[in-house]
Amino acid sequence: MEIQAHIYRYHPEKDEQGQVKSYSVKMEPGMSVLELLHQVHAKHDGTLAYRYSCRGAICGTCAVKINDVAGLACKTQVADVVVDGAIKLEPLTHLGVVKDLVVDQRPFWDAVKATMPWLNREKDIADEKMTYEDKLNKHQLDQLSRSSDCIKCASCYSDCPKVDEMPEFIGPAISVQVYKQMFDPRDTALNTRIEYANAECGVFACDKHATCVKVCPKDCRPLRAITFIQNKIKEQQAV
Amino acid sequence: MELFKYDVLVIGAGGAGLRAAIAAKEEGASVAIISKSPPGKAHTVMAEGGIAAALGNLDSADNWEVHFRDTLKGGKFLNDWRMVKLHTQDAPVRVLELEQWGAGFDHTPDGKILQRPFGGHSYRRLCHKGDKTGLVMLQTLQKKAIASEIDFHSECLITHLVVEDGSVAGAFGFYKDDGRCVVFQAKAVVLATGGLGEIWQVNSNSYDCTGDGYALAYAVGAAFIDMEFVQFHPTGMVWPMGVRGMLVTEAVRGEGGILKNKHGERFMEKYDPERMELSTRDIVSKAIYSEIKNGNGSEHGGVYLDISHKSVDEVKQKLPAMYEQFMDLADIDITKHTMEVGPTCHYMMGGIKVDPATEQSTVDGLFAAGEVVAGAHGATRLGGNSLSDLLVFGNRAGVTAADFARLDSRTHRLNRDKIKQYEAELVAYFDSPGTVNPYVLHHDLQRTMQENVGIVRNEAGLKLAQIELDRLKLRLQHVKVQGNRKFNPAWHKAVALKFMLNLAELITRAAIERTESRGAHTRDDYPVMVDEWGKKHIVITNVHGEPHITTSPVEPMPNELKKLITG
Repeated sequence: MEIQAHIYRYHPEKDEQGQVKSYSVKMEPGMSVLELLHQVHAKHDGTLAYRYSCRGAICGTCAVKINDVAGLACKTQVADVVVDGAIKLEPLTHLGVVKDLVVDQRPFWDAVKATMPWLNREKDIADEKMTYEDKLNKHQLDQLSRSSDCIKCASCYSDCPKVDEMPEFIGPAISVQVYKQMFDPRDTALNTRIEYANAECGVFACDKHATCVKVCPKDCRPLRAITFIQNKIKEQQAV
Repeated sequence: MELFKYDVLVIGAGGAGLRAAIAAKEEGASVAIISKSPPGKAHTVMAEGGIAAALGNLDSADNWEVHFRDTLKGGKFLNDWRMVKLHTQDAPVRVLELEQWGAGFDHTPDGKILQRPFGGHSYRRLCHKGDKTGLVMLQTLQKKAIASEIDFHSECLITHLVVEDGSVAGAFGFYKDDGRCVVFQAKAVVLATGGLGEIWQVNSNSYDCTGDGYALAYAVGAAFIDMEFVQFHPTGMVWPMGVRGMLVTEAVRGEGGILKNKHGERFMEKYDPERMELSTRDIVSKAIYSEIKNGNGSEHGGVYLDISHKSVDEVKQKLPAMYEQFMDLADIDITKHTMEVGPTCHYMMGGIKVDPATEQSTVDGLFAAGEVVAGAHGATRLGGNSLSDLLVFGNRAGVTAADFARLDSRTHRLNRDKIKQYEAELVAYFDSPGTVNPYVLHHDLQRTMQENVGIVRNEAGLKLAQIELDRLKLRLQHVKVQGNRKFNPAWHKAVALKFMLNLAELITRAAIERTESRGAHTRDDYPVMVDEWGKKHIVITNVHGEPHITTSPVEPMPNELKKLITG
C-alpha cells in the first residue's frame, strides 16, 4: 500500500521558513517510522536530515513528532499511525531546528548537567553495602527504576504544554533525573537537590497536564516523579 | 579551521571511551571525548544481560582463576593470556567502583550485587540491572564523565588520525551539525570506537557500529590480529524486518528459556546435551543455523525461543527489556507466546593488536580499548565479558595514555597540507560526477558479507566475496552525495562505507588464511580444529595501501597459569 509521508523540511541557511514536503512510500508489513525515513532518504531525497542509532528504542536518538505527538521513530509502527493513507513527521518542539528533523539538543544536555546527575557521596567505601531496596517504599522504588529507564529522548520536553508558556520550566525529563538522584538513599546531597528542584521554574511550576506520561516511550511516568519530589520538598520544609 | 589541543584524545563515547577518559582525567591529563552520536547514545546501551566479574557473591567458589579458565576455554585458547589475566583480576573492582558511582545493580537480600548464570561461565557471574545493564552502565559512566569536567565533542565524525614522524599527533574530522572541519592535536589518542556489525545484513549492532576505529588505525599502519573471528550471537529477532538482527539477550536462556524447532523438538539435545541452551555462543549459533538450513526453521526463518513456562511476574521482573522489546517492536507477549530468533552478527573478537599491559597499538601514541581491540576473547567471546572488558581495559588505556602524554616532550608540528588534503577528500563526495547511491552500495556490501563471510564459510564463497569487494571498491569511487555539508546522513554513510569496505577485505582475507574451524570461525571445507592453527594468530598490516598478511605465535602461558586450566 502506498502512503503519503508529509515531512517537515528546513535548511536554515537556505530556506526562509520550513515547509512540508510529501513523499509517496510503499508501506511494508512491520515497517517502522524509522524505516520509512530510510526509504525516503534512500529513494526520494538524499538530503533529508534525521537522527537514528540503535533502532531498538533503547538509545533515544530518533525522537520526532509523529502526527503532532513526540515519539521514537524506531518504536512506532507506520501501520499504527497512518491516518487516511498519510503520516506527518516533524522535528521535536522547544529545541531549535538544526535541519529538517534534527533539533539542537545541547540546551537539553546542559540542563541534565545542571542537575548534577551523579551519585553524590561524602566518602567512597569499597565494602560498604550499596543496597537501597530496603530504604524506599514500593512506589518510590518502582519510580526509581523507571527513572533509570529514561533514555533522554526529549519527547516529554518537546510536548510539555508548560514549556510553551514558561520556556525556563525544567520540564519532565529533567525532573525524572532529579528524582533519580534525590530518591537514591545513598546520595548525600539532598539539600542541594531540593534547592534545585524548588527553584522558580522547578517542579512546583508543573501544571499537571500529564502529557509527559502519555508520550514517554519508556513509561518513566515523569508526572509521578514530579509529584513525589513535590511531596518530599513539602515534607522537608515541614520538619 | 578549528583547532583543539589536549593531552589525551579519546575517540568513542561508549563504555570503554568514557572509562578511559575518566581514568586519564584522574591522572591529571587534559582530556576530550569525541563521539559521532549525541551524548549517552553509544551502542553500549544495547548490552542487556550483564557484566561478568568473579565477585563470588552467590557462588563463593568463584574467583578470577575460574573466570580465567572459562574465558580461555571459550576463546579456544587463542586469547592473549596476559589480557585475560588482567581482565578477570580487575573486573570485580571495576564493577564495585561502578556501583559506588551510582549504577544501582540488582542486589541480593543481604545487599550484595546479584549475579546470574550465562553460557560458558562456570558460576553465577553476571552482575546486572534487570536486562538493561548496558544502559545503566553507560548512564553511570556518562554522568561520572560530566562530573569530571571532561570536554565532550559530540556528533563529531573523525575521518583521519594525524601522524607525524611515526607517532600519533591527533585526529581530523568534522562536526555533523554544520559540517565544519576540526583538528584535534593530542599527545596520545585512545581509540574506543566499538565494533563493525553494520558490515553484515543481519546484525545486532546500532547503526553507528561501522568500524571507524579499525579503519583509522589501519590507515596509519597499526597491526591487526584475529580478524577472521566474528561472533554471531545465536539469538537475534527475525521479525519484523526493521528490527531483524536485534539482540535477544542470552539472559532469556540464562533464566530458563528453551530453544525449539518447528516440530517442537528441543534441538540442543543433539548438539550439546550437557549444557543445552547454555552452551557457548558459537555452538548454539551453529545449531540454530543447521536447524534452519535443514528445513526445521520457524515461520520467518528462525527457530523458537520459549520462556512462557515461567510466571508472568518472573519474566517481567527478570527480563523487563525483552518483554518491552517484543511487546513494542513485534507486538508479541513473551509471557504467553514464543519468540522467533536466529543468529545475528554481534561482536568482533579481532582487531587492533595492543600491548597487554599498556593497551598501546604498534603505532606510537595510539592506544585502544574495548571491542576495537583483539586479544581478550580469542576465537569467541563469552557473554558478559565485553562489558567488563570495556571497564578494565578502558581504565588501563586511560591511565597509560595519560602517562604517555605526561612523559611526551615532542612538539608536533601539524602538516597543514595533509589536513587540507583530508578536507578535500571529504568534500569530493559532493562534487563527484558519479551516480552511486551510498545506501545501495552499503546494501550490496552487507549482502556480499552475509552470503559469503557469515557463520559458515568456505574457500569458494570467500574468494567470491573478494572479487565482489573489489568491484564495490571501484563503485565507491563513484559515490555521489546530494546536498551540502549541513547535517547530511548520506555524507556520514559515504565516509563509513570507505571504512567498512576496507575492513570487509581484511576479514575476508583472514578468513581465507585460517584453514580450520575454531570458535566463531567455521569453514565447512575445513571443519576440524587443527592444533597447529591454535598456536598462531593471523596478523594484518597496511603496507602501501595493501593488506600484508603474516602470522605471529600465540604467547605461551607460564606453568602456574597452565595449572589453572587443567585444574
